[in-house]
Amino acid sequence: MFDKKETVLSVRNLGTRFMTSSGTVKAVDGVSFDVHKGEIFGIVGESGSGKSVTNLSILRLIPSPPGKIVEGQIMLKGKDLLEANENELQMIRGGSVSMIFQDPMTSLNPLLKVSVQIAEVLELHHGLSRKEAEKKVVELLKAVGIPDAERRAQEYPHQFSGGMRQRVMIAMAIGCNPDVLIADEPTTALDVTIQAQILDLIRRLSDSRTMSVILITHDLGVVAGMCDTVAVMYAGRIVEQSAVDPLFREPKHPYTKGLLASVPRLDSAWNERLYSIPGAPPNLADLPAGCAFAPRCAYALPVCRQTYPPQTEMDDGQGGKRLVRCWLHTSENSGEQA
Amino acid sequence: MSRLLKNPIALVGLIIIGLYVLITAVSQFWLPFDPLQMDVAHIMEPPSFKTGHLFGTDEFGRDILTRIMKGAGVSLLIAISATLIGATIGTFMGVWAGFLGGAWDHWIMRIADVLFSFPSLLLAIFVMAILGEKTYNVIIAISIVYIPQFARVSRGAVLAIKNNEFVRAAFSSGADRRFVLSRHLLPNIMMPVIVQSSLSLSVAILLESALSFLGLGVQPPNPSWGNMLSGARKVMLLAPWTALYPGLAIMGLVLGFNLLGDGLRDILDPRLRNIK
Repeated sequence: MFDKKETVLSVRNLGTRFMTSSGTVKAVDGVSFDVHKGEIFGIVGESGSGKSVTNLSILRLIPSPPGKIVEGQIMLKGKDLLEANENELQMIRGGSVSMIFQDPMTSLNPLLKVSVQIAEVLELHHGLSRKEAEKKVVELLKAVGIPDAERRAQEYPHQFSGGMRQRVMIAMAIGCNPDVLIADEPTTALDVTIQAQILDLIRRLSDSRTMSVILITHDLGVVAGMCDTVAVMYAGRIVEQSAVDPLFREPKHPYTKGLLASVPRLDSAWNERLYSIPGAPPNLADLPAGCAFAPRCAYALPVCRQTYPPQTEMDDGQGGKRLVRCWLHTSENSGEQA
Repeated sequence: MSRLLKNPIALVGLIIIGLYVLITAVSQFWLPFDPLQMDVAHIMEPPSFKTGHLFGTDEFGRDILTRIMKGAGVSLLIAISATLIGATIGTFMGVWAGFLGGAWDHWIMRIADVLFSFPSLLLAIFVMAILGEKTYNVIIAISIVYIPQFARVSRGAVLAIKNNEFVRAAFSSGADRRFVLSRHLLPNIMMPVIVQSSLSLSVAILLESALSFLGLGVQPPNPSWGNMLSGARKVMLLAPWTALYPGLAIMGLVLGFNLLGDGLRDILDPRLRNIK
């Protein structure tokens, strides 16, 4: 999977900090990943692991102050977004990179007709007139599967259900044929049948438009069903990154193992207790020395508590490579692997 | 507009206000009597068709109906312009403070708090004392009373709106601050601002009357509802109509603005539309 296709978005060593009264929070620290053309790239992790901040950093939408991107590079088709000025950024946001959000109930302006809201993005980026834009809006609404699009376009957001609103958001996001669509937990606020429909829609749009998608989620089932590549984040860092199948077949990092073990299984006994990772996520303002997961890790070595593990490259068994940050998998320790 | 006519509360309010506007318009061209002409032979005459003094005469023999008509224009002018000025400046400050946050927010709202800490009438009297007793100074005094009120209302609304995902969505699709402000924030805070405006219009009528009653607003012999009440105070027991009619005039207009504001609130919320 790696290095085979054209890289659209490349994030290198990204670091985002929040200066708060209780200290500097390292929300994102040394994150690197590549998103290839047409790929669905999953980012999983628990709340506060830096998933959303990573993606807001890509669009430079971190509220500043208190937030600040302190290091790294975000290359979008050869251009570093961290060096772009505000005008260039405005053309990129919604143009080549667009975003959909978690809660479709509040992501549309209640006072504007749906058609107007989508049309404004088109006017902004393509310089279309209102009439041309409104025509395109109907096409877009049809593309995201809204029935009776001509009539629905003239309605207000409160006349749409949650799933329909998320479709409208997707229509707005794909309006300018973006290279990358960032979906920040797009289905968390929807019920399960609608979730499946929305995910299916995103998948189809990604295929038909060779659009890359960064899918942020904490649902491993969604990752397994949707993504090509997945990055697991913990405490602001990517701890494991791999193609989806190898990761689910054989998780390397103890945290990934823990996450997978925490998913309820169909074949377990009904009275079996569900596994949960012991302990709680660390305070990002006061990270322990060494690996942030070490205090909760059953396999922790003495070195885990002292030094942060380097990145280890491994073969993923299907011709690609996978990356793990864990002392258990560095060359000198791999013999003691649990 | 058609929805305004379908809402019975707003419609009644609108009709009442329309009536006052009509009276004001008529008073520019025609008045039953001279509002300033004293008539010692006919002081404190009760209302009667025979004499033509429908609302009676005051302690100087001036026709009360004429003076109420003449005063309506002054009251409307002061209320509308003071509310407009106060709402514009106050909303601007509040949106600025709420949207930018940080030090701007802190200082703008602290200044507003200082103004807020005075009771409105006291603040208005204070400003009048500095500026002097002129009709347009009443407008300035009342708008200064209103600025912090509108700043607070609009700042609160902006704070509630600005973290909504549609604002983030607008930024993430490439909108700049000015676009987000004018297209997404301002329309969404208009509802509380308009409701606050209509309430302010009615309070402005009362404030103007109070200032005139205290002798700080419109100066006699020019009629205003406030100074008519002030004059009537001395003779109220002998000639109750001298106080009754200016009082009713104030009450009617205040009621009209309040009803309109109430109706507008229901109409302007698209979520409440189409509910029967």
